[in-house]
Amino acid sequence: MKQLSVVLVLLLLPCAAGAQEFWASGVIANPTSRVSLNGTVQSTSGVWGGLEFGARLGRFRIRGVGTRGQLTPSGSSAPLDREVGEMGGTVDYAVLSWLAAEAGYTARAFNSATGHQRWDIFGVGVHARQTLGTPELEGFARLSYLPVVDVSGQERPDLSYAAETGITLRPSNVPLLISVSYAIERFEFPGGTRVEQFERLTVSVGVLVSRIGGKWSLGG
Amino acid sequence: MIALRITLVGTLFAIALPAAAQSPRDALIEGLRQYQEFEWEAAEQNLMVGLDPAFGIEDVLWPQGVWRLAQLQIDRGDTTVARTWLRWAVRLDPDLRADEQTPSVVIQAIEDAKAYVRSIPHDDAAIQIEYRWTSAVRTASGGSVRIEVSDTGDVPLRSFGVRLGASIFVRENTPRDLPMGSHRLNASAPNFLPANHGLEILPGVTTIVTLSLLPQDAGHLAIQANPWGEVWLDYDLIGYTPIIDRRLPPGTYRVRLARDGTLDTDTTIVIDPEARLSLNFGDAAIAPDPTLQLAIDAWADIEVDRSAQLLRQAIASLERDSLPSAMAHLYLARSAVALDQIDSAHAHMREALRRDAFVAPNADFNPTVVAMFDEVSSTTTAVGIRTAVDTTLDPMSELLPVELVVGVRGRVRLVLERPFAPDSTIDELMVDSTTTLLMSLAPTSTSGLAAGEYSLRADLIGPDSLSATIAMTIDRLAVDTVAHVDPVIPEAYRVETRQGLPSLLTIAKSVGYGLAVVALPTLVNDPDLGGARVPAGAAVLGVTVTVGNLFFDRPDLPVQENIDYNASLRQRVDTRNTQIERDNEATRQQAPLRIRTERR
Repeated sequence: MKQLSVVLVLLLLPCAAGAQEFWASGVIANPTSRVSLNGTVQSTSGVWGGLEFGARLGRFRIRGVGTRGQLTPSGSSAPLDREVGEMGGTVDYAVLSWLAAEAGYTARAFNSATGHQRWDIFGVGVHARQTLGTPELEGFARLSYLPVVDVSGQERPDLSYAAETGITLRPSNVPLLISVSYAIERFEFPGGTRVEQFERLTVSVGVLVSRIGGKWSLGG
Repeated sequence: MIALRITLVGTLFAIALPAAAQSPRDALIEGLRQYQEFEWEAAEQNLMVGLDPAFGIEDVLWPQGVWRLAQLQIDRGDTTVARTWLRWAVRLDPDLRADEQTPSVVIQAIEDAKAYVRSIPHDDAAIQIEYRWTSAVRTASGGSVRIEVSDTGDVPLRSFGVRLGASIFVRENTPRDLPMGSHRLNASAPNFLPANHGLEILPGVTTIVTLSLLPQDAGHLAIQANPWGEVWLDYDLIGYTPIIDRRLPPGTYRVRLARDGTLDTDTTIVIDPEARLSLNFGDAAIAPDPTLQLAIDAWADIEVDRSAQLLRQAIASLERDSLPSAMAHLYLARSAVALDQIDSAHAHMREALRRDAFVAPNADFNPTVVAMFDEVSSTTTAVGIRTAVDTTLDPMSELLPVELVVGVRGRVRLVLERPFAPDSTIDELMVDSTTTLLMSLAPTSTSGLAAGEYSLRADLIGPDSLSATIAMTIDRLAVDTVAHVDPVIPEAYRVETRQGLPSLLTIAKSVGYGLAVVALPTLVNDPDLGGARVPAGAAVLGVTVTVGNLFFDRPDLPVQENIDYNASLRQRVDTRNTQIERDNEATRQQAPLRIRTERR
């Protein structure tokens, strides 16, 4: 762990000297959790709210998200209402101008009248982005493999992966960062009797500040 | 025998008659004419006759007669004779000067004569000398001297001792023949102050010496005045102020101070035996520089030696080539004149001119000093240049007055020097003493001199070439200029492009991006769980990406009409501003100049 910290510091140090961007956004999302157990599908959905902080330091981009909300059953056979909280972070490194390698960790907790369940998810993947006719509008897509997923009180899924697509708007005349994305995670548990899918449509609006040559300014 | 005598007398009478009828002026005219016609011998004789001072030394022909006579004698090799005549002439006319045609050897002989006369004490109040021409002027080789005595009181005439040189004694009222030459006369008597004077023995001329020796207990009179004045003592003009030390027999006198023929003061004084009386009319003058004020005050108090000492101290502390320093030397010259130290006065005047050629006696200086300065100035090589110390002028309509001054008359070239540029000669002109030249500061008809550092140099052309320089700093004064027209406001411009339809490539890319956005979530999505093959959120985003790219990735097509319109707007402003800048530059070129000068 100590060696990893040293490596990270050494990698980040040169980035501190180049252009830097920082943002803080308010996040609102519409998550949907679907569980198929022995052919029966249970679906819950709700509204989440939270905050996102991020920084781009040269080729590195670091992002942290914290959200909290409610999931409500959408059918008669659905389980009880659940409170959901999630904290996560990703680090990506741009290997090309449009493609980055990414690693992330997410801790997600469900709380209901029947008990408490926690998910710890580690993932690696790739992240591609492309401007759409103007530098102010950017589309992106992410595909991740989630090799380590730990679910409390339950065995681990033997295959997990995720995808996310979206668009980001960075207006040139205001220091705002507006993003709309759709993310989906899929967890297949051993035995083939249980599959869970977690989807979310997210809208975030934030403020962007940048630091170029030691000078801070609003916007990119 | 008798007939022979009658014939001889008649012949001599016939010869002598025209000579007796000839006046000194006629002889002078005749002598000058004969000189022109190379009749040297006759010319010399007529010139000697014509120089009779009774005829009048003020006549313009008189000095000419002196030069020509001296020249004849020098040419003949008789320098001693010429020297004696010149000393005699200088004694009568201390300002005697030769004209430019006179050979330098004669000019030098005149200067030597002046130096000799100045070096011999001359107690003019005690010894008066008169030269009386006789008919033997043409033929005699020597002259005679006769002593007369006046105001002797109870002293018997025989008590006076009159000596010429070291060994010739002359008795009063007895003419004594002597060879031609210069002599130093010394007169003394018991209970009288001895007196000295120089005199010349000229061929056929009787030199009459009248003695008025002062008694031993004579008092001292000193008179100072500001402004200067003529001093009359008992109706006799005795000179200009200051009178430093006039010895007078005890008694009562009337002193009159006058100037320009008007009476300023008329007073009666009593001179007591051996006492000193000082009269001071007016306060001390204001010195041209504070450093010199103490010396001027001492001068006003008739403390001439102390004044000179203070002036020398002041000179040591003043900048060498400055007007105050030059004035200090001029004041020293004035002191020297008052003390009858003429050579010293000349030296100080020359030094004053070297330090600042513009130096000149002011109203404090009496006519004797002024005349001497004019003479020294005209024989001293010097050049000076000056203009206003700090002034402004319009170069297009005004000229800068530049003053030039020279000592000896000469040709002066005025040169303008500027750094990193060839010098330009402004003018070249003959200057007699001073002149003012009007200098243009506009090298072209549309612009004045550029701002910067210049030097203005006056070169005295000739064998004794000299230069005087002043540093000139020229600044252009601020002038009103027209402000530039504001640039066209952005709102006035028309949009120069419009977006066209997306290209096929853009359509393909847009669809591809949209599909990619849809495909990834679709790959992860389990239709059995989600209920649809394609997640709705992904589909919405895919469409958004496709439409967004189609919309924004359209080509910009130029709108030529608007481009031309905008260009004409810009050109109109640019043209106007270019014209304004051109006009402003012309205005600046013609701006008034501030000129500051400093002597180098």
